[in-house]
Amino acid sequence: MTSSTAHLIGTDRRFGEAQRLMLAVLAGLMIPAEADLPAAADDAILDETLRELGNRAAVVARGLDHLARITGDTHTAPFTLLDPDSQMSLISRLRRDEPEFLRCFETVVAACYYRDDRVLEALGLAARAPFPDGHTVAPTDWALLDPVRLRKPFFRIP
Amino acid sequence: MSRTSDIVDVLIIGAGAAGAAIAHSLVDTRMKILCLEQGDWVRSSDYPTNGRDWESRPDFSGSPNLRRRPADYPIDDTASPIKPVNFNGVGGGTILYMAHFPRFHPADFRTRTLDGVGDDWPITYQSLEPFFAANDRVMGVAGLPGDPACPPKDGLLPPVPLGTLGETVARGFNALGWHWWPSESAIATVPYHGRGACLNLGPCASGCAQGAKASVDITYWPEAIRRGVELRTRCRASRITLDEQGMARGVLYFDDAGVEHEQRAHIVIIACNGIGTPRLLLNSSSGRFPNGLANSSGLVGRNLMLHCMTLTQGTFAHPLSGWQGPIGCSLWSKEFYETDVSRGYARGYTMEILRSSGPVATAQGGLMRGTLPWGKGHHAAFREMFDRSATIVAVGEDLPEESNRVTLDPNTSDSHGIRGVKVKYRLGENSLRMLAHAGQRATEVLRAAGATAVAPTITEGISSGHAMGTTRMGQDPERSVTNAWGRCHDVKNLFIADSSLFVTSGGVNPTSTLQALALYVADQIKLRLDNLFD
Repeated sequence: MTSSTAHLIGTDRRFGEAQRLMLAVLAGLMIPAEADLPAAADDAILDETLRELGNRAAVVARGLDHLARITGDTHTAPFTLLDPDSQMSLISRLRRDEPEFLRCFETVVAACYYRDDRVLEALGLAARAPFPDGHTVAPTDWALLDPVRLRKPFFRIP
Repeated sequence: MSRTSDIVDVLIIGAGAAGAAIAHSLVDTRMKILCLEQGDWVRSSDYPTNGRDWESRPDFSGSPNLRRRPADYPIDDTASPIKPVNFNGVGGGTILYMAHFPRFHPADFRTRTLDGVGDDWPITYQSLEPFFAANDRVMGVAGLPGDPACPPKDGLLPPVPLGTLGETVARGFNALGWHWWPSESAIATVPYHGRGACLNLGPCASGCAQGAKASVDITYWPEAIRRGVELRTRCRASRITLDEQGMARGVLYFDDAGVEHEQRAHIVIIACNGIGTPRLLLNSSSGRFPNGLANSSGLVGRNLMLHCMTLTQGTFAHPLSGWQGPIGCSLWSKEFYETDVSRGYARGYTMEILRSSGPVATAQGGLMRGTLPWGKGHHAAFREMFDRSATIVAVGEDLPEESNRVTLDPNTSDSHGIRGVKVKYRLGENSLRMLAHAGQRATEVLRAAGATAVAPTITEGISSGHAMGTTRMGQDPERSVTNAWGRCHDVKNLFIADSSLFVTSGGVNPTSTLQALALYVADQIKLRLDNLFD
């Protein structure tokens, strides 16, 4: 997480340092690393995530403020230093209290994560735009329609 | 305000599916035709499938409230369980539609006579049939002849292949003995009139970079312009003006620089879709028409139909290759299209099988539904979810109800200060019974196809680009806004040529029918040029 944060501080100024750190922790909790799949807190993915979240800075700031507040109500340490179980418990409460923030956060993290080359390749998908190569769909064996072809016309003619 | 000196013969407002068709047809008359379009051309290189962020481009969202392009106008849809979508630009809704291209059925034009609900249209399927065929030739429609659920048609291009997903669901229909057929799709499956063949990019609903999908910016418009129609983009009509005799004098519009002009015309045709058309009429109120232009019936904006719809998703144990291929066009079922009163409702629906989403949309959908968890289980859950789902959408006929309506919104306006709209829509009792039936049948067929799980059917929050009925056509001026060929009862040189004219909604996507209707209106104008305003 330290390397992610250091990278972010130099590249994105729409969020303060504490906000960036909280967003990095949230992204890592949402999609952790596994085998050849990076975490959503990976430097490159998080960089894009923060850039896109910058378009909804007010919603994000409100959500993070609320998360800091509810953390302070029940813990002495900041959210980023809590154990994962405590963090997830607070996220459940955040989901109830600030659904717009979490919806926005999840949407953006998913968009940035699932278009990353490493993620797509780990999932066995081509890391490219659909156009111009497109995809191949096998021709259909229309014998599958034989039972339907046996039916008489059944639309009504007034 | 500047006054444009040239008076045109025909002024069309809106360059979408209907405006393009009527312009293309009327050019035969050699009249001077001008079309004003509030949006712009879309370049093929701008479409999302050109880029790696193809699944998350809000500027190509169907919702104007998310898209927020300068050409968009706000639609307050908070009082509607169905969320209207559109596109404002050359091509209109065809830029983002899925290219489903079914026609209304013959019985759809006679619902009062046959089933005692809704109202009969003042025209028949037979009167539209030549225009359906003409429209198909311009748009290029893929399909397979011989569907026993529909009247025969000629000239179809080879059907869009079903793929693993479609074949899997088709076997489910066969197991139940229910009808299915490859969807008729406005997609060039082979090179067609200068358009390249479909590459199976996937997300037709964010535009087609290949140009295989028939959007009217690449079908009707190039030829209409070559033959002399002038299309003026980034020109937003604000109101229709009247002369002393109560005839339409022309249109006030803002150009790209925000300068207001008046364009005068002998004939004015509105083609702004089921929401934009009543918006323009309601914004054109005057001393003579205090409740909106051409609204002596009080029906402008009323009888809004959006289609009642269900979404039912099944999960399968094996990959379906479902995100490769036109997302909306695979197969459909008309098993429950025609009325059968034993089902507990009148009219019916089409079941359309959608292909599945790409990785981003799959993850976003799973997170929204709560089926894709945070943390350790995330990756395993995603692998079980991605490319293993098939969705059945039922498109059901909602009946016309005057309380379902479009009104002006005093709280919102577009970038030129013209008032936005509010949509008030409620699912009627007949629709609710139909939706319950459709959800059960979709669940049955997905299970018969081998789904290991079927999610609860969704009926609210679904998007619809099918806005219809808000200036209905008819013989009786007290019960309709236009006559049987689209001329407003109240203003004899003002015509409407889009889905606002629909009397009922059918249980199919409306583009094919609204374009045939626009060609029909054009033909009626051409037949009556000597006494058009009598």
